[in-house]
Formats: sequence, structure tokens, C-alpha cells
Amino acid sequence: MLKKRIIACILVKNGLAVQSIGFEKYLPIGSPIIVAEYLNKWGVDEIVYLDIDATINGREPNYRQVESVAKACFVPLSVGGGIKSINHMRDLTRCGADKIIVNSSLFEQKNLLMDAASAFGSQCIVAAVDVIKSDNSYLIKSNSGTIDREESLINWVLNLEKLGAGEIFVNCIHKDGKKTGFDIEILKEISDLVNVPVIGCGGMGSPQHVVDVFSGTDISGAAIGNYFNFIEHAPVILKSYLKTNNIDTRIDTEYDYNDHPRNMDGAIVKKDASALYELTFTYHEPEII
Amino acid sequence: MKYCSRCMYPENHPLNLTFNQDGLCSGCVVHEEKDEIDWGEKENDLKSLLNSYRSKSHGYDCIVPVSGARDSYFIVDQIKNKYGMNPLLVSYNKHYNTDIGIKNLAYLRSYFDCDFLMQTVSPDVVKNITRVTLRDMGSIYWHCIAGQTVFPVQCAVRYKVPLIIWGAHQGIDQVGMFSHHDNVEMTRKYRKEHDLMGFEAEDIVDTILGITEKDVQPFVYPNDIDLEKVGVRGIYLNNYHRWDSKQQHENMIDKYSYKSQLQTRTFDTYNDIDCFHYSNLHDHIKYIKYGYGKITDHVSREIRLKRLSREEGAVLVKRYTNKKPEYNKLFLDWIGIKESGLNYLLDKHRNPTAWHKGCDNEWIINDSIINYIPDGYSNNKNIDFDCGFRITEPRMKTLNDRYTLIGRGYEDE
Repeated sequence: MLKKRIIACILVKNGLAVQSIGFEKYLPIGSPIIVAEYLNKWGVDEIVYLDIDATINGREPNYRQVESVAKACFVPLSVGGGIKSINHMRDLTRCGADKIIVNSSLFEQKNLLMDAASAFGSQCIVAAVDVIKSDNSYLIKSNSGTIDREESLINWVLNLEKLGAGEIFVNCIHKDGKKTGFDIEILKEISDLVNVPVIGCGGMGSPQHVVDVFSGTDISGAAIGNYFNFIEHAPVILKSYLKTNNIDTRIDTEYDYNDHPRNMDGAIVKKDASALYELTFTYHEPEII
Repeated sequence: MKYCSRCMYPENHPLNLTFNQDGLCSGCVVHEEKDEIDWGEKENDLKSLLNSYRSKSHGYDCIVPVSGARDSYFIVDQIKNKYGMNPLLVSYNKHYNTDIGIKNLAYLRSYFDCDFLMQTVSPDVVKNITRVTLRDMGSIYWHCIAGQTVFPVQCAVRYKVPLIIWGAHQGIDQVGMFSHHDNVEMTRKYRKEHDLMGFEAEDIVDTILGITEKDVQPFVYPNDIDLEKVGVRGIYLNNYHRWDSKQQHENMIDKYSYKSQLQTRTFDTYNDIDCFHYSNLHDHIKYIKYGYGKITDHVSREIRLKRLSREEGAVLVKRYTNKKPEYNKLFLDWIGIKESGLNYLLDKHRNPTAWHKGCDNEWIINDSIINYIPDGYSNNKNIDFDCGFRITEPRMKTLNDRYTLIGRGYEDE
């Protein structure tokens, strides 16, 4: 069976990596390049870079920044935000993007997805959809949540698959920054419906939430934004917790937190005194690639 | 330049700001949480976290970094006396010590009866490193911050004490980088980007000035493998306690005779009085770089805590921003350069968002919050808005005006 993917999201607003809460409140994190550098060191499987104010400000992607992020990034990098044409996509791949994420422009240009898939191959194209739950039904929004769309979610997702999307990235606005866990209901429905890999985003607040979403749905990757900025080695701590819950992910960091006790949410707690007492330290040869 | 509609922060804040639709900065938005959070619940979270780190083998329960100033008394009082932990106090010697700071630290150790470790790096190495950081980042304070932020982590690994307890997270307190609900912890990433201005210890090895890898070891972050083995975590007390530095210091003045002192470039008489340069040259450098100084931070903090109005704040900013720093000569003699040399190096680090050059090659500030003081306020010199910061009776009649590298560390009177 394929390993599940842990995907880190870098949301960029005005050139600055931000935390997003409900698509309306943004807190400043810092340089996207340094965020990428550390996510990479901390062993995430993929990095998603989303320029969230490019489309609403009518701006093209920030190619220079994407290039710097790509330099700090040794895992697949997907780039989205402000992409309106095949040329934008080509320029981004030249800057080091491995995959292209399209969302808002698909509503205006019905052929864009098909053209992109035939130009670059489906494996390079991720179709993203922003979903909001209201009164027990799911609606689509676009342009960073500023425009309501009429399309029915199910038809739209089926359509994306048919037009050649290699992956579908589902971002739940009502879960964004809430730390209450993923929206398992809709992620299950979508991942059961389509045959391409589905990535779920929005709501991660503790390692247990990721266990819940992988056990409750067939999504192939969980995308996590804010949480990875909160604690040291967050992705490694998450992956070793998934391992103890029999969810298989790639772990290739030199440290793995496998012998740390956990609390109920999956956060690490202190090792017992004898384990600490027996610890010995050795010299670590620096790794040069 | 864009400014927050409530506090005094400009958009070029080095820790970065976002603004909401009402023009409120992220720092003010996150600060509002302080009046909404159920702090009793937060305290329970802290208690259960601390309980899970209590040592069952009579060792230290946690590490508390202290300087003697900046809420050191308050943090130790909380951890040791209120929560009954057995902390190991650790301190990086910043070399620019004032007498009052040395005394405050000595009394801290005496009153709280804790074990204490201090790292004093060779002065020659510190001077050499400061020459590089002054040249490359325009900072006289890199070694202090690098040392303060890494020595506790090195101790945590070395002594296998996995919990470090810090005071306020500056990213939360100043710019609202995180919400209090995020319970954010210490990371190497934050340290590199925001504390160290992007330069880690390994980056300042310099063959021309003769700085070797051995010299920078005291500033090198422990290896990830060792951090994982011990399970080091650093938590911030301001995620669990409604942080009010002024109130906290005043409690410490009443309870443990913490000593305060007037400062040159701010009305705050409590924070950072342990250093000759923090509120002088270091703060002046901040102004040179970004067009605003520590006074803007202090005024913004007091506005958010509703002890100052925006207009009063602007008058205070005007009063202190251009005050000439004192004790520059101490630093120049210590490092061995002339004032003109210092100015030459600093001019290279002026931020173009804040400064431009005039026709006579002079530096002109682009904009300042001072320009927006309402009429009638700016000229009123009689208004005294000091927010009631207290000045305590000094312990000694005369104070040394030289650095004290190591002073008497314990008081038994």
C-alpha cells in the first residue's frame, strides 16, 4: 500500500508567510524561505506554497520568491496562487515548482485544466477547491474565499477529475485555523467519489486529528499549515505518532521520537528518569550533500 | 508608511505585521485575547504540563533562563514559589553589565535559593564576534541574543533537563505572530529568523578576522538528534498567564525589593536596566535601521494595556526617539573603534523602507508616527505621561560607570 503523505502548507500573503484563521484573520510568521528550509529539515513529504493574495490583487505569481523557496526545498514543491495561463505555469516550473495548483482561474477558463494537463501531464497539475459548510450543505468559494460559486461541489470535483487533474486539494474554510480536526465527512465523500489522490486541508490541531482523518477517509495526503510553526520538529513528532497508530508514512530523519511517551493528544511528554539517566551523547558528523 | 490604527507600530516592524480591514495590526488583534481568555483554564493547562515534568529522582524539574532584569524575578517566583518546581537557573553573561543588574541578579539568587549556572565567553572572542556582527548585520547585540537563546538549550541537553521555561514570546507580545491559544514553543527556526536576524553561529565563522568554529561553539544550537534524545521543549509563560510586565515588576519591587533605574531613551524603568547599551546604543541602532526605537515598543505595549492614549503615546515617542544615547564611549573603547567608524558601519544597515539620502548626502527619515500628533498635543511640554513607572531607592550611593564582567554573586546580609 502507498504510504500516506504529510504535506506542509506555506500560505503567503504580500510576500510574507502567514497563519490563516478562517480565511479572514492572518498572523505574520516570517520569511517563506526560512519556513521551507525548516519544513524540509523536519522531514515533511511535500511542500505546498500558496500565494493567497495574488489572484485577489490581480497579480502574477511571485516568481523570484518561488525560486528562492525551491532552492531551500528538497521535497516536491507545489505552487499555487495567481496562475491564469499555461505561460505562468511554465515559468513556475522553470523556477523550480514540481507541481502547479490551480483553483480560481478554473471557473473563468473552462479549458485551462485540460490544456495544462496535456502540456505538462496530469501528475503536474493539482486542482484545488475551497469548500465551506453552511447549514449542513457544502458550498464552493473561490478567490481566497471572497466569491461564492454556484457549482455543486460533487459535480465540480467530478469535472476536475475528468478534465485531467492529477490530484484534488480540498481546503475546508470552516475548519481553517480552528484546531478542531479535519472535516472527515466531506473528505470521505470526495475521496470515495474520485479515483485520483485527494489531499485534505484545514483543521489540524493535534497529532490525533491526523490519525482520525487517515483512519476515517481514503485521502492520500493531509495538508497542514499553521500547526507546523508551533513546535520544534512538529512533522517528525506527528509521523512517529502515526507510526504507533499503524499509519505508514516516510520517516527518514536521523531522529524519530519513537521512544518518547505521549499524552492523549499525541504530544510528547518527559521520558522517565531511568531512560534519561542512561542517555549517552556522541559526536554527530555534519551531513554534507 | 502605514501605521496601526491603535498602537504606534509601523508596517516595517522587523518581526513583520499584518493589518486587518480596520487597520488594526496583528499585535493589537492578538493582544485583545488577553481580555477574553479564561486564564484560570490556561493556568490549569500549565499546572498539568509542569506536573508531568517534575523529576522523580531529586534532579532539576526545569531550566529557567534569567538575566536579573526583564521579568526574571517574576518567572522564578512563579515557577519556584507558586508551582513548587525545582528550577536550575541559567544565564549568559552579556559583558555589558551594569552594577544595578549585577546586584539584582545576586539578590535573585539569594532570595529564591536556586542553583545557578552562568556562561562567560572569553572577552576576546566576544569582541571579535561583535566586530563581525557589527560589520555584517549592524548589531552590537547578536552575541547577547545568541547566547541568551542557546545557553539554556545547551544546558537542557547537557544536564538532561528537558523543560525550559521562558517568559514572554516576543513574536506574540509585539506583533501577534501566534495566538495565545497556539501554545507556541521554542523553535530553532524562530531563533534563526527573528532573534539572530538570519545569521546562525556557523554563519559568522570568519577567516579574515580569525573567528574559528571553536570560537562560535558557545553559540551553536545543539544537534537535532540530541534535542530529540532528551526531548527538549521550551514553553513560554505568557501563553499561560496574562502578561503585564509593568505590573509584574511592581509586584517584585514590593515583594523582593527589585531595583529600578531611569533610562535614557525610554520611560520604562524596569526592563533591561542590567545592560549599559540596551536602551542606549543598541536602541539607537534600532532607530538607525528601522526609523523607530524601543520607545515605540513600550508605548505600544502601554496603549494596548490601556494605560496610555494614542496621542499621549505619540508625544512620548517624540520625546524619546531622538535622545542621544549615553555610554557609547564605553563600547567604542571596549571594541576598539572610533565613533566615525561606528557610524560608517551603521549607515550601511539603514533600511530603505525607513531612510533615504538628501541632496547634501545626509540621511532623511521617510516618515515617522511623530508626524501625526494632533495639534495642541505636540507643544504641550507640561504633560507628563510616564505611566507611573517607579524609581526605587538605590542600594549603593555611587554606581560604577564601567562594565562589570563578574560581580559578587550572592548576598547574605
